[in-house]
Amino acid sequence: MNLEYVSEALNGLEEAYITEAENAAVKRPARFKWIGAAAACLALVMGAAFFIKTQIGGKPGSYADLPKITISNPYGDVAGQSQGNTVFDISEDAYPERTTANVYKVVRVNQNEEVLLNMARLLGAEDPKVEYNDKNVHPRMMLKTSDGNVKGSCNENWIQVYSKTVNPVPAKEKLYDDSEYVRIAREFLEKANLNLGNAIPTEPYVAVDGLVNSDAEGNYEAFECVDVVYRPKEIDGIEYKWGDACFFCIEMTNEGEIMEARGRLFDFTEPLEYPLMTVGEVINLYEKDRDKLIVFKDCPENGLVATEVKLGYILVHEYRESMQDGESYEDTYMGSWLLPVYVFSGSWLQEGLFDDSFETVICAVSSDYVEFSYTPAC
Amino acid sequence: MTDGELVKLFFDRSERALEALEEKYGGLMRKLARNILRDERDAEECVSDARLALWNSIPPQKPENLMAYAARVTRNLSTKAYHRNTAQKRNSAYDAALDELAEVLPDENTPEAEALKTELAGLINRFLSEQSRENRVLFTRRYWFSDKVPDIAKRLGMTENGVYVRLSRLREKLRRYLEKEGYSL
Repeated sequence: MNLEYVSEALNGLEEAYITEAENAAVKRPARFKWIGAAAACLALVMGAAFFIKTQIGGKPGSYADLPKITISNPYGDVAGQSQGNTVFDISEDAYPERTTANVYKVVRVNQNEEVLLNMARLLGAEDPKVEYNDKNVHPRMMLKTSDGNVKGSCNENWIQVYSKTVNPVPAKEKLYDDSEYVRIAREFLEKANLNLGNAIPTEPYVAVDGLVNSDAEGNYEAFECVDVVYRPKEIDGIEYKWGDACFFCIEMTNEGEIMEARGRLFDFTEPLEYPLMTVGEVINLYEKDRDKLIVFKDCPENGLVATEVKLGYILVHEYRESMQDGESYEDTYMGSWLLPVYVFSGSWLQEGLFDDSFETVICAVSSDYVEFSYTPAC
Repeated sequence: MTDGELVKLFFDRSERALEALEEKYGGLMRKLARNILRDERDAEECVSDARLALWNSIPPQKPENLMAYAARVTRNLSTKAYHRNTAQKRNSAYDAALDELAEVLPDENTPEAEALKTELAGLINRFLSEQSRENRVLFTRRYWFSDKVPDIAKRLGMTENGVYVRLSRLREKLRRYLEKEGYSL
């Protein structure tokens, strides 16, 4: 049989069937190869919490409202962890090399060194240097300068650089048209050689910030600045809204001086396969269809009283074992999904488990399933 | 952006049309081309050709279903490129899918083969119309999109073995259907 003939016959397939097949509901994969270990769960929560702290909360002023988790490396505690052949990686693309987590991560950090240094120079550092904080399991780079004017840090997928040389000016009124602030932000990113994938800048807005100036006790001094936030315009037909996620944020004075740049480094060019849901929809899903609830090991299935819910995202790379040649197994990279993550703060009321202790729970949500993990509040 | 708005950009000859097409259907087109060609550069080239083909064909064409239209154009170009590039070397994934189907389709070595091709396409469409939605999706994903079985399993929440079994039954049903319609297999 000539395969070309078969193929051409198939070309006549009705469009309705093509559309139907393309839009077929993506159900829960047969098995996610999450790391089930408590450490990973904890790290994930911490990562998600930090992510939310930074991304959804948006402004440092909202820190107090979030779970009291303090980590400097938002994803490093999760990214690259492996268990046997399982990889749970929320940091970057596929993980085909099967290298150890540390090697992988060091490679990634190295790749970002140039960007970090570029950003520091653009923010006024004359002789920035990076140091590796390799005492941590997940190394990151610390940015230091001789005069201490520019500081920042960077890991494989997160970067933050800020300058104290700029005296922030209250920006209740923007001095320029929005397009000028966007131009400044774009120019900065280009000079830093930072690729944000398909992210686009939102319209600048005036925000209250307090991260840059702090006194000796660590109290933040709030001031107003102009933010240009980059986010994906649309993934898989779903338009992002402010509050869903921002991926890179550039803060500047109303005079256009950049004070801080921070955000994620990987781009989001892959389509989002799981539709976003509102928090209410997640709770409804959880409440209405417990059969679809996938609960992590040792995680109670019921009794959750969510008192606070925050939304974030994780990037999950799925690998699946498949039989090769009838005898050996091989891990196959199945794809990457940007999953909404919801952090629930609340109580587990199930007696004998956690009493009334305060817990933080996360879940990843697709169109038809919820996957939960939890950790005691830190 | 709706398909209608996107098509209007094509009609307006706005270059924004290509950007919007890439944003909305670039992932789909790329995946389809990759499924068939299994070569990143070839796939990218095909997607570029497909974009150009869409640009040249809209207008006068005014597809109501732009997704299917873009996918079809991409698939046509990809399969042509595939058969052109790999006359000797066979691509296991794409050929494997077609091989399965070829077993139940009539032999093309007949004088009327070309004419029958259109009729055959119509019969396949009719056959599919009588199948369950899930069967149609299975069939289309496997033989039109050339998706790998693990991908289909994941998409439909089935086991790989379940997909294999279901596809096998589908092919057998198709074979019987075509025989009933007078095809000598």
